[in-house]
Amino acid sequence: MGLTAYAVCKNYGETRALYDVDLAVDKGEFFTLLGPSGCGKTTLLRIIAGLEMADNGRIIINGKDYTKVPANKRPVNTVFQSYAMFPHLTVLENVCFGLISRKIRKSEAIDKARKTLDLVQLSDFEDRKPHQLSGGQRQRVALARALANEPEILLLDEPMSALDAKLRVQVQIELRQIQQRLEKTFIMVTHDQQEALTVSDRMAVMGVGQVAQFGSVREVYDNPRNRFVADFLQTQNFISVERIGPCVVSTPYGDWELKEQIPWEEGTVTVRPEKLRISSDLSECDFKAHVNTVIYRGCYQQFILSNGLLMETETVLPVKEGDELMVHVPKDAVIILHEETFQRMDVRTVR
Amino acid sequence: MKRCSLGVTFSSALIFIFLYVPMLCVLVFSFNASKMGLTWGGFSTHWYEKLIHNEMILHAAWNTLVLAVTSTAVSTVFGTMLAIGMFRFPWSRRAVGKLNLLLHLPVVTPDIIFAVALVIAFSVIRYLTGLFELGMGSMIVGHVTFQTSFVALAVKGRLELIGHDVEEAACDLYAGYWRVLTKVLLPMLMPGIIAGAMLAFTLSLDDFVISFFTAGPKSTTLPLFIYASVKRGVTPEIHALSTIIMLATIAAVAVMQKIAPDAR
Repeated sequence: MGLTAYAVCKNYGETRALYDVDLAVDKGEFFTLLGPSGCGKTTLLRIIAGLEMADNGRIIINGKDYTKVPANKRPVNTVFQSYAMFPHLTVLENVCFGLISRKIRKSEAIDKARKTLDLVQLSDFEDRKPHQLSGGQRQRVALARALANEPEILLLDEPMSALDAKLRVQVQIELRQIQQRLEKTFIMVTHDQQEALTVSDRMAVMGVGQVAQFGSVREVYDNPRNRFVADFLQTQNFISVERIGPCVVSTPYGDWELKEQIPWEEGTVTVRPEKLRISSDLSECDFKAHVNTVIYRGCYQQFILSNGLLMETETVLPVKEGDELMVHVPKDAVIILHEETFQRMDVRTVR
Repeated sequence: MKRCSLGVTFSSALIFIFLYVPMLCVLVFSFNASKMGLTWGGFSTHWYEKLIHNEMILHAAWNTLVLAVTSTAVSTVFGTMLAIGMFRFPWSRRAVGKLNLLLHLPVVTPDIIFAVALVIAFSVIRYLTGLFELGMGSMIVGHVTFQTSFVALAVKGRLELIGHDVEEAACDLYAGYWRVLTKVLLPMLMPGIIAGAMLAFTLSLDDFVISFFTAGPKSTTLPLFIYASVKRGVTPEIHALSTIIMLATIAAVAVMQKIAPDAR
């Protein structure tokens, strides 16, 4: 149930926007398509919405095939990146639009629209025109306009890209709370990993027209499968290594023992900067390095080390540039990266 | 508030004087009692009285109005349809370039060439079908051919400003094509459509060349009438006529500014 997309392909002339993408989203979950611009995430969303037709593949929503159904007959609604408000209509008329399109009685539509506006805390603004609202308010009207129709799936296309950083964090939390309260399926597109982590249950990281990795946000964040995903999730330290034992690699910083079997002879591992530890115990020390640059971040610090690695501390320590540190690399901090660049979702199990 | 410097104020005043002095002259001389030239013979509304009793002028005015209203109505519908069609259909980039060229051609083609082309086209059609005797019908067709481009350009500019987003949003909100058109697209396009229609209306109102070539014996319009009577010398009657047309235009502009919804 929820949404299943099978082998969706889309070409724009010579350019391939989507190669055979499979996607399975469960009912009631907040799913995010995360990826850099041009990876096809918005195209995929538009295909789900019906604003664009796939060249190949199928779109199934709650067990019904909607592949060939036009946008105005699909049980999904979209929050557009530009909000796409109707500027000549008031807030209330905007929110009523979808309900009245479906021939719901006017009084009933207005009732429902008012309830939805209440949900996004905009009841006092129903007579305003969109140009009389702030960016954040307009974003909430866009959300209300989509939610008022009680769609099976709500689609959000970079819904927060037009908001300033502070407001964005607040809206992310609100969005998450609304989704949990309504228990609806939300599918969001974003290029902001922080946003994806904040709001979603599961996410799919997309590379060029393909899903590079999917899973719960923790799974993906803690265990990026390949260089592309790790890079996109800002793992930072990429280290070329050679295998010298089943679980041991030789790195330019010494030999490290890893938590799992290494599937290749030569490859890349990565360590998040915040996972590196300063240690005072020589027996625990994996390598020594001088601090080249100290970056003060308010509640934490970043060090650029003389060997090129980046590390982050949890608190602000009295470390100066030029100091020598003993660094411990915990076993489970090292992530083994795989060669393959994309992962196929097994859509059959979800059906 | 930032104040303009004296130089800027002065030069803009000069420009306005330059623009409006000729029209003021016409206005003043339309009230001149003396019939001949530049001598002031005292204030009189004589020419206006004479004007409204002149059957030929009234007939020409009626023709002009019928022509302008009909051709504007037709060309506004055509132009709007053309612009929406050009914008909505997923044309290839090359096709868009060619269509734009086709749209701009009637705007930049000299009227005289357009007029001659119309005369030839009409005579060919007349020869083949026996229809299209020169007259009001042919004038309306002639005017619509050049007005349509102007309307389409105005509406297209507005469409490009609006973009595809709102239309997609309406579709996403279960609206069928008709609802998208009437509830979203047309209301949002209205400033462009009104601007285009106004442009088309004024173009038709003062068109001389195309009217001259496509008019029949009974379809004299005001510009044609003025041209014909000026050959016999400019009379204050013509001044009076010009003044009335001028005031009517100003009134039309004022009304349009009142009723046109704000552009946002």
